[in-house]
Amino acid sequence: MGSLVITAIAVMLLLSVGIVFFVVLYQRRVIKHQEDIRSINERKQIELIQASIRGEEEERMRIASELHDDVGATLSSVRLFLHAARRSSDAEILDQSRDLLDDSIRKVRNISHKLQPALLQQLGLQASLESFAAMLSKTGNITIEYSCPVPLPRLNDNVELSVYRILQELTSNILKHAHASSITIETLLLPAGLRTVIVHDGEGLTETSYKELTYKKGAIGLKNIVNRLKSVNASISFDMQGDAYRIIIETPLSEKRL
Amino acid sequence: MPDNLSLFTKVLIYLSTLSGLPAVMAGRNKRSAIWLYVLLSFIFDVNGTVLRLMDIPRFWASNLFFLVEFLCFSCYFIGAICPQKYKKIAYYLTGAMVVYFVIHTSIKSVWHTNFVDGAILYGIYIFYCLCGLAKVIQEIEYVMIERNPTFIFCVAILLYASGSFIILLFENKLLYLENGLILSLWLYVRNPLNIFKNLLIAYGFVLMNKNKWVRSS
Repeated sequence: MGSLVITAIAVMLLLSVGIVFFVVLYQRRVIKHQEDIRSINERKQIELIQASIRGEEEERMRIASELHDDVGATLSSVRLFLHAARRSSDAEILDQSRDLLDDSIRKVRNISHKLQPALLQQLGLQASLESFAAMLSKTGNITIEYSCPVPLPRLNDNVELSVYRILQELTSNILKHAHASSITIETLLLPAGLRTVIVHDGEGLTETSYKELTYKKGAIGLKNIVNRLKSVNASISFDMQGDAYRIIIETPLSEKRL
Repeated sequence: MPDNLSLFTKVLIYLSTLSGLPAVMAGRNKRSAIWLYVLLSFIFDVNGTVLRLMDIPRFWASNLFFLVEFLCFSCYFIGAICPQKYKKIAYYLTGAMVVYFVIHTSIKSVWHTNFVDGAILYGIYIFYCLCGLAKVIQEIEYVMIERNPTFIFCVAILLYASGSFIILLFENKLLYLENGLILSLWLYVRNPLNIFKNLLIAYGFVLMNKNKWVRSS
């Protein structure tokens, strides 16, 4: 009897010590897990910031090279033509100079339009997307249709610009990587917010591949999309509609955003 | 106190008696149920040792101590771990248990320790501590668990109750069959556990006072 009691006490104490150790180890494991998640999120945040900075730098370099190589070169030619015209007063040279100046003005306007689409500021998202679709369709390489069943009201500037930029980036990616022959863009104003749907018949992204790409290094365009989505609290999802790939962007619209 | 006890045993008894003092001092600003328990436990321990020295029967005090201990632990654990919506029920159950213990002990004998009911109460403390530890795991308030006073109190009471539970459960049987063993168990198991419990509770109060904890989020 005595040994049984002693054994029982020892077992109870060992069990208690075991439980205490379990609690300590379990809590350490949970905290380590939380730390890991936090560090992954921080790393991802840093990558997003870096992607944003890199994207900005690349845009600046593109503008600089366009100004230097294109507009700069055209204006230099105009200068030469004008110098020649001063000596000979040749009307043809003056005409050529005028044409070149017109060309430069058009190029500067294009650069300015790419930086901040004037149409978006003046007429809003719907008109800008109509123009955007028409412009891309003109190339003849792809058919782009834009539809908006219910006319869109003017939205908050940030929402309009973000949605427009996201669509620009997604369309550019589809053109570059998906080998699609047609793209359909649709914007729907729902009680929950703005739903933008892109459907294309190329090789599209899936939800998993999108997540993988945004977590990987590089893929600056996609990371910029993530940044823009975050800035307007929007979400993106990918699925299939028959054989076509579908991208849905849901942008919540608070009263302030309308 | 019997003269046949060794010096080591006597020192152990005195240490166990006085072990509550650091906890009483460390937690005097807190005035919580756990501090009240430590204070009353210290008073009962001193009282028990004095009665033992004077060879006066002290078993009646054990019943009172069981009751006080149960009330203090219940108040502490219900306040610390019980969800708000169940608190009322928990207090009713505590009240019911107190009534049962008082009636049962009165029927049996107030002058003899009610070991079986005592064992039941210690079983309840083990349950309280397991719930407390589960809550500590769930909430993860502290990055370093050993800085969490609730965790320290739970460990202290869990080890103390686990060791004492079996002694109390078999006390009645062993009292007649192996009286020497039960005395040894009280002296060499319960006393060290009591010291350990009181020191851990004191450490818990020190942590509460320092308040040097870091929340995980």
